[in-house]
Amino acid sequence: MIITADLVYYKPESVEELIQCVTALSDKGVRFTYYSGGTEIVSALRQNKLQTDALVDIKGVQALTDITETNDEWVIGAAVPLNQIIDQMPDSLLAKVCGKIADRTIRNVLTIGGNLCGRLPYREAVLPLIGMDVEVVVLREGQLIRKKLSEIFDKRMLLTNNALLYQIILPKRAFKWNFHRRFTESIGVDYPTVHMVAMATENQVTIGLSGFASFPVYKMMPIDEFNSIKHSLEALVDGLIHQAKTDERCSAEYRVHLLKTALTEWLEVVS
Amino acid sequence: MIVIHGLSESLLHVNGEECPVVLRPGESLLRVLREQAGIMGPKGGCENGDCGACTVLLEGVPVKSCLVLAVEAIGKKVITVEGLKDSEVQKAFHEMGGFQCGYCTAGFIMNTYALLETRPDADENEKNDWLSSNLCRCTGYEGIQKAVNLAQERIQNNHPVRK
Repeated sequence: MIITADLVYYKPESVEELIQCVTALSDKGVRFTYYSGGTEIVSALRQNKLQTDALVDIKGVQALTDITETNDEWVIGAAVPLNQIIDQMPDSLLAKVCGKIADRTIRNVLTIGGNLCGRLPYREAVLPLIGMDVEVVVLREGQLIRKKLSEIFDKRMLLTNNALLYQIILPKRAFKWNFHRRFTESIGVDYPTVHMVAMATENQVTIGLSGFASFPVYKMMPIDEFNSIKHSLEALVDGLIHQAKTDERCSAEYRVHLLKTALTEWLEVVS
Repeated sequence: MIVIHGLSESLLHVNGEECPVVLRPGESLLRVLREQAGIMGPKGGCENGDCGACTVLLEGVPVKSCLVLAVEAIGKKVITVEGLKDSEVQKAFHEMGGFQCGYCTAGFIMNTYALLETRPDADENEKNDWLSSNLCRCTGYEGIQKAVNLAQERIQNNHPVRK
């Protein structure tokens, strides 16, 4: 099936050009879509599930395609492909989680920004990010604004007025421990039935789930609370199980079973 | 800033040659390669990024050409299976029967070539990781696996890995 939409393709080559382009399109009332890896957008266009007049390819802006490192943090451009994260930050939890998403060839183009901002409900890259309390840079109305990801992620990225996720600021924070486990219906290259990422910082334990509900869900607790309930699976899944979904892949009951399996494996590792 | 709208004449650099094409921004690289450049190696399977039959190398990196817009390939080097004639990978697939109906073969060859170019010492996990991007609906995976191992052996013998 071919893409029938009559589109205009823009590729700005600096942030100034990007702002100029987006401002001009907004002023003219042109419907546009930020374009990067294209894996979701091209499929959506082909199936006529995306109505847009223009694509603004953000890969020409270097700050969006680079990973830079300081003593304290990584700055990851939103248009960085997942394999670049895996290659450049191989020991990070983010890289380990990204390595489970889609397949290797797709990860050569699938970007972290696309994974976080796309329409697909899984958004697995967010799982380690919320627990690490990362900050992001958003380009909105010509301004670069830095804020916590948790402030603009609730089930999905909450970006308004043509705002663009620009960069992700990942602190080089040591975990007490972290764990991730991903289940699929049959083969490994598939959407997750349950993908659990659990981590503990000095003060907090976070359990993040994708595939379990209709959107990523979290449970956060102070480490003292975790220590007091860690011997009870029922207490650990409390607040999560009612969100389990039933779909063509598996039932809610089976998802809860997978969650408990992952939690059991995790607790064995922790202990 | 690059702006492309309507039909525009362009050149794609494919397998070392300049191919004149007329592009629409919404056209996939797969469609333009097959329907305009006459390069039939990349196959349209699922056209949804699942099967890998359309895999080509864009600047040396494997991509599924059904999910790449042709305009993104302007100014970049595209390699298709036609560009790997007489390569060790092609020979190994031929010798080991790394195909059945052959529809998926081009995709497997492209990914194997890219893998062994970048990771000639790849272990089984890496090989599985790379090649799980491609599906063989005939389930001829055993022959494919043997072909990949033979190509790797020959490439390692030609260019020994430094210990």
